Amino acid sequence: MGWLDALFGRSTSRTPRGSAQIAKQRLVEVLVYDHVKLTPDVLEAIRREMCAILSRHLEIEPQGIEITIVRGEGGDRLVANVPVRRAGTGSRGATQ
Amino acid sequence: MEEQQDRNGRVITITSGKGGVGKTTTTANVGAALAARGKAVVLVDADIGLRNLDIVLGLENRIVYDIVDVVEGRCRLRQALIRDKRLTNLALIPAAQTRDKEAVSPEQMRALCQELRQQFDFVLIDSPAGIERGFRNAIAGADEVLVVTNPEVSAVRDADRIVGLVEAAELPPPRLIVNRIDPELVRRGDMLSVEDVLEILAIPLIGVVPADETIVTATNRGEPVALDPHSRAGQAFRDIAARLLGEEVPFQPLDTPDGVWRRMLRALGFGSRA
Repeated sequence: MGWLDALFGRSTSRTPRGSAQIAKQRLVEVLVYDHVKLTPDVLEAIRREMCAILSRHLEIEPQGIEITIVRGEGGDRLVANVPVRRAGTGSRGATQ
Repeated sequence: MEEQQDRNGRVITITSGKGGVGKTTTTANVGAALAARGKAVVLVDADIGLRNLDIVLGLENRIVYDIVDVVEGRCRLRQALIRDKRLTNLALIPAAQTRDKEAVSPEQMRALCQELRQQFDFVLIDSPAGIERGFRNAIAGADEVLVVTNPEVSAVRDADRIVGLVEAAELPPPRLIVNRIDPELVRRGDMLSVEDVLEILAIPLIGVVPADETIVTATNRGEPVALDPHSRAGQAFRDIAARLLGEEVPFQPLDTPDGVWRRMLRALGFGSRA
């Protein structure tokens, strides 16, 4: 199971805009820092740079990129989920 | 219970990282609930220097020897065991009040746990807050760990740290107790939900304890709320005990008639809550 979903304003989960959402966002950010010493700014930079590199070879949807930190057996993993447009059709798949 | 040798009991440490989230209350009540189910239970207050478990259980006036006396050999183990006044199969080893956490080593805790598990079905260890020596002592002899948290940023952050340390100690993944959840605040979107906390900590859930004033009144009296059949928090602690015994107990819906009633009163302009 992953956390960090709330980062980059992704909002696939239910969206009561109460203070709980703010709490969750802050918690996720602070845990990313605790685990991998990355600040939200640095993560945003990673996202931008990944976008730039991938865009050279693929047609991607920058808004749909999700970066997640997942706690696993052997430690933490950074998982990026990048939606790509299928050549010619405009429909989308996703690649990791 | 001392006569019956080697019960091969389970040693379970209750910990949290952050202070004040309800470790001691949880230890007392899960222990009382297990004892009420007929199990031989000993509670160990490992918060040396800040003795509290005796107060929650109402046993503060019966202390002669403490955990440091035991490990330093100033008394026999049975002399330091305080039998609960309500449940004869519930016992307490109090913390020392005038010493500090350095007074006990992890090796001594491990040996103490080994000795206790021969006499009891459950050895519940109330860990001090923090991640230093006291915490290391508390998990030294543990088979399993329960992490208590509140639905708050700081408490969950500290719980996350504890989860990492428990895993680093090569213990099985700890199980989570979310304490002091207020269903009304969750419903309004102003408190992290159990699901939010679970998503972040990614460990199995063993209990959800609602914020409940019966805990305050029971603690004032020195009586475990787990023995109050009408208390919702008491029921939550009894459910945790049942899950520790391997029973499949559904999690209670947080919106009880009581909650609905309170909400109606508030809608009508009676009562308020920050």
